[in-house]
Amino acid sequence: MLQEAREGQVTAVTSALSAASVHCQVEPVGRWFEAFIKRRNINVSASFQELEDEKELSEESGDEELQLEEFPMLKTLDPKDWKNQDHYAVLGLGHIRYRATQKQIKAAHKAMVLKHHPDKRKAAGEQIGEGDNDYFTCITKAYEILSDPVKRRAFNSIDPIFDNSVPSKSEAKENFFEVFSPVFERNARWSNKKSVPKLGDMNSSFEEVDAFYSFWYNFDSWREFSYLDEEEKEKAECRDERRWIEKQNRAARALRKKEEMNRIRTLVDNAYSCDPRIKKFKEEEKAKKEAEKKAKVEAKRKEQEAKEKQRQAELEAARLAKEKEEEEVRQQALLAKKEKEIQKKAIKKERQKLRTTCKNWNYFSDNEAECVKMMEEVEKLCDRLELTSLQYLNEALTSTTREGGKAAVVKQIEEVNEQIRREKEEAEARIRQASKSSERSTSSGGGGSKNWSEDDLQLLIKAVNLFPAGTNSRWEVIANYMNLHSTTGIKRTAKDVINKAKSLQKLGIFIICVLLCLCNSFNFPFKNIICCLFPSCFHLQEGKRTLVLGNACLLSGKRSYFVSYETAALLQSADAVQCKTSGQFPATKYHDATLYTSHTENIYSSKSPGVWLINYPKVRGGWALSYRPLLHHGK
Amino acid sequence: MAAIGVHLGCTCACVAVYKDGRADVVANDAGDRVTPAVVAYSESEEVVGLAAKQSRVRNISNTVVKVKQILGRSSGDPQAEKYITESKCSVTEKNGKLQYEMDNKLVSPEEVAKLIFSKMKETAQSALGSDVNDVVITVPFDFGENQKNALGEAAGAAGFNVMRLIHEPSAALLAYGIGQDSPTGKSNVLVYKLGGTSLSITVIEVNSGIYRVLATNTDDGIGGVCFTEALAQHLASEFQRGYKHDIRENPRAMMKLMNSADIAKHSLSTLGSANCFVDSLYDGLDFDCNVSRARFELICSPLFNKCIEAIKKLLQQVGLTADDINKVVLCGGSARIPKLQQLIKDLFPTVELLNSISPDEVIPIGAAIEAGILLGRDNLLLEEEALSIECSAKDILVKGVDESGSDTFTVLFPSGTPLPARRQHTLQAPGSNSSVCLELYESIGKCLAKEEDKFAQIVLQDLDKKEDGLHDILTVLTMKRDGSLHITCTDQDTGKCEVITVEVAS
Repeated sequence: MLQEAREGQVTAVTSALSAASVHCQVEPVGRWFEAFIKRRNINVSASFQELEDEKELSEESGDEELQLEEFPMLKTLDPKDWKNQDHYAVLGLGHIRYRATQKQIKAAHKAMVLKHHPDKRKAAGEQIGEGDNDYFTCITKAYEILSDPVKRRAFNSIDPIFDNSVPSKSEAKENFFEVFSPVFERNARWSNKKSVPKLGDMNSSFEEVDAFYSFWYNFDSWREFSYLDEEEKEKAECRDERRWIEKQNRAARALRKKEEMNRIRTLVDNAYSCDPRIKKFKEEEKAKKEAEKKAKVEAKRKEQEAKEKQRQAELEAARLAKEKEEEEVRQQALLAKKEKEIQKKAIKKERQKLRTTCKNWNYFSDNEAECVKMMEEVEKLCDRLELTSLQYLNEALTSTTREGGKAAVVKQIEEVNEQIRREKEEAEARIRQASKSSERSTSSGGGGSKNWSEDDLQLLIKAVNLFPAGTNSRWEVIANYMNLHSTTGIKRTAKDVINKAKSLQKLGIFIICVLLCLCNSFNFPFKNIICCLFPSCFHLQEGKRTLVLGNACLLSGKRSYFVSYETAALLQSADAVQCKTSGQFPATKYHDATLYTSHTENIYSSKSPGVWLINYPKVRGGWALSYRPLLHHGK
Repeated sequence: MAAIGVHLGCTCACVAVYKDGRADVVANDAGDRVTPAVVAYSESEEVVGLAAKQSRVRNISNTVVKVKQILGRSSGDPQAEKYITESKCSVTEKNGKLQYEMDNKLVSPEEVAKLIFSKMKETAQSALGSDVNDVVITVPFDFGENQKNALGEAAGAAGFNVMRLIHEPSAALLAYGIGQDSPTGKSNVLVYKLGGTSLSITVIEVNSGIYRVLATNTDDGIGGVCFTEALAQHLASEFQRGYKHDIRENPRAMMKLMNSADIAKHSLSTLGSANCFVDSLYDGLDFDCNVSRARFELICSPLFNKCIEAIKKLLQQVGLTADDINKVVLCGGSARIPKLQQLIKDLFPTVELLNSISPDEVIPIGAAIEAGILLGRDNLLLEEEALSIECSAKDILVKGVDESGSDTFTVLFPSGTPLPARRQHTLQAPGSNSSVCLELYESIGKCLAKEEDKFAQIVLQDLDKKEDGLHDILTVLTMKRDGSLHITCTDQDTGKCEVITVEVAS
């Protein structure tokens, strides 16, 4: 129950609503959701739909006062030629034509029938044509066409008063919008889609213009030309004939439809080429691009300048730092020299002092021979003793009597002698050991890896490849070859060579395992093509050994290639990683294979391009290895 | 024109067909309306459904179950990890995707799902007698984008044209046609889904026929399997009592027992007692045991408690009480258990419990109905923003007096109504008065409107007095998308009319 209004209360809004609408996530389920989305997509609200319905109703009620235009030629029409008549004009709807609603057509027909029915006219004493020859047949035909949506559409398609013309380019030179706007509006009626975009004016945005042309270039027309069919299917007497007629008609319609599409296309093409806005946009685009390009160049130049400046500054700083360092070093050297001189002087002084004290005490002896011996000993002391111990000794000498001084000196002498003896022994031991080791090394043939220089390794590899397995007494030949060509002059026996080659081989297998691990742990780009390397003492023809390697690769489930060339040697010694090229790959070519240059940033390479150690900064800063598949490229 | 709805659950899959305005679940070639979502791989073929489930005892490492749990997940996912540890078949990771290893070949979860979908399609086609591709598939509410994509891919590979993926609880509501008949009014519905391996409870607000999920909770720890397990444990202890053999350590025997317990559990939902009989369960000994419903309920009472506690917890979380729920929809096979239904009824004494459709068929039927709605529509693609719609923020109330003379408030325009919307009410005033005043308030939640919430009043003066009649005041409220309100009040007798428009405070 509602309340009664109090005295003085009036309709009023006291405050605005405090909260606006909120967005909620809903489930895309159910017919009401579909209805809601549909409404939203066509921008109609639920509450206003009914209003619209009402509006439509009122429009239809307006039809009651439909004004019919009398067609003056009506009575002269030939019913036989009905196909060429204007059905709208016949029904008196010449002024609204295709916009007429079904209701209007019905009403118009009714009015026409009331007026022109033969019975009515007969009563009025008019002359009536025989049977179908009366012009009333035209009205019946017109209604027949217009009341059927399909036939009506067919007739609408070939509307006799529709202007099919397309303005030429020259017409639109000056007043583009005035010429083309009505043409597009006229043709918009053929569109299947409602809401045809308007041509707009000079101030239309790029999006609008773009939407307009894309709509018209993809124009979807409902226009069809079945009305112009020359043969009527219904007239056929048998199925075959009917089919033949259908075929004829279809071909004719397709042709006309094509012509129609061409017409639209020409229209849009003409418009597009004349459109001053398109020209404007193109120019703008061009200008924009140029500006961008300029800006880019400018930015690049600036960047380079900045870089150059920085580099200069860095160089300067480095130079200054170096100079300073050098200065410091010089200063220090000077200081050290001075100190040394001071020390030297002091030592000299102390020695002199020792000598004089000893002399003063007559070398602690009265005997001449003893005296001479003591003198020698004291000289030795002077030679061997450090500054501090000399000072200490001198102090001891000055503070004691002759006997005490003697004891101190003797003690020192003994110490020094002991030291000299120890040194001698050590030196002897060293010499002994050295001779022993040299003996051992000569017995084992001098095969220590120390003796294998980089050049020798390369030579060995070359030799191994030169004399493949099966060569008569292969290792002797190799050894000879090595001795002949080696620059180091070390003589090697066959045993040495074999040992070295074997160790390289072992290293090779170990390396493969490491590589596979590496490749797996990095997201190695050549994941599926693992190139398997092996020490150069392997020869590709040595089936057995390559098999071992192949198996290793198969185990990892990768495709394998075999790479030779000093790889083991390269990995073994760090000096083999020789040239460091920053940023660029050396344009080295080996055989016919160009080296991989993609993804590389810092490349450390050896002289031989068989193996590349490539730093992939993107792959967790780790090392990845890339191999060139030699075998793949033939020999 | 026909379309189908498919529900792929963790344990079972079910398909419903929409034809001639009706949605019905169709039985598969074995005559079952629900197909186990189990796929067995052998040397030469893949078997889907009951046959695969039955042969699982012999072929455990090559039989995939619960594929939905792993679908669209990657290896780091804790759910996937859990699945992998529980799964009896080996799951490996390759190229960042999880795949099953079956007889040395790799099978992706999508392929397994595809086989199940193909089976469902076959079932639907044999029932319809014609080719049917248009389908609506249900997904759990907690499915992520990846999982939805994987499911969609699997369905696409099976030859389906997926019209839409919808959430399981909404499908359940649709199956009962909640809010579909008249688009006005607002109600809260609780969807209780106890599936094979998970329990999910969802509270959905239905307003103007549109569903909005208020809260949802999924518990993977409890499901129909737990009940079967509890029963199987009981049976195992019975066996131990009778034969002095502990079969709990024997996986094969336990699996046999599980199958038997499953059947017994199903019959206990309709019968007072069930018989479990397993030939040669262990060491050539046959096992025969009778379980009464009361016994079963006793065994499972902790599980039942857990199931009910989950509802209470969720209601607390959304701040609703049992009285705020207008309907409860049961789905999932285990929701058939009579004791569980009784417990839910006790929790919601005044509420209608919807279980007229068999619980495990509710979701596919809802999906099929949605498929029927979508059938023949052209633009089915939904953008993300389409799911976010404007709703009114607050209730609009009118103040009135009841017989005793105290103030009452009537909701004219509930909060959460999708906008734009129009609501029409015929309000009544005593005929002895010559004027009527509508005082309008806005409020949020259930708290009563206070004086400062009043935002407008509408006064109709000089009405015809009717001594023993009533004034009928037609009130129409229209709210636009921005939340502004337009109210028209008309006295039906005199035609006197007042109009106000209330804007939103900016």
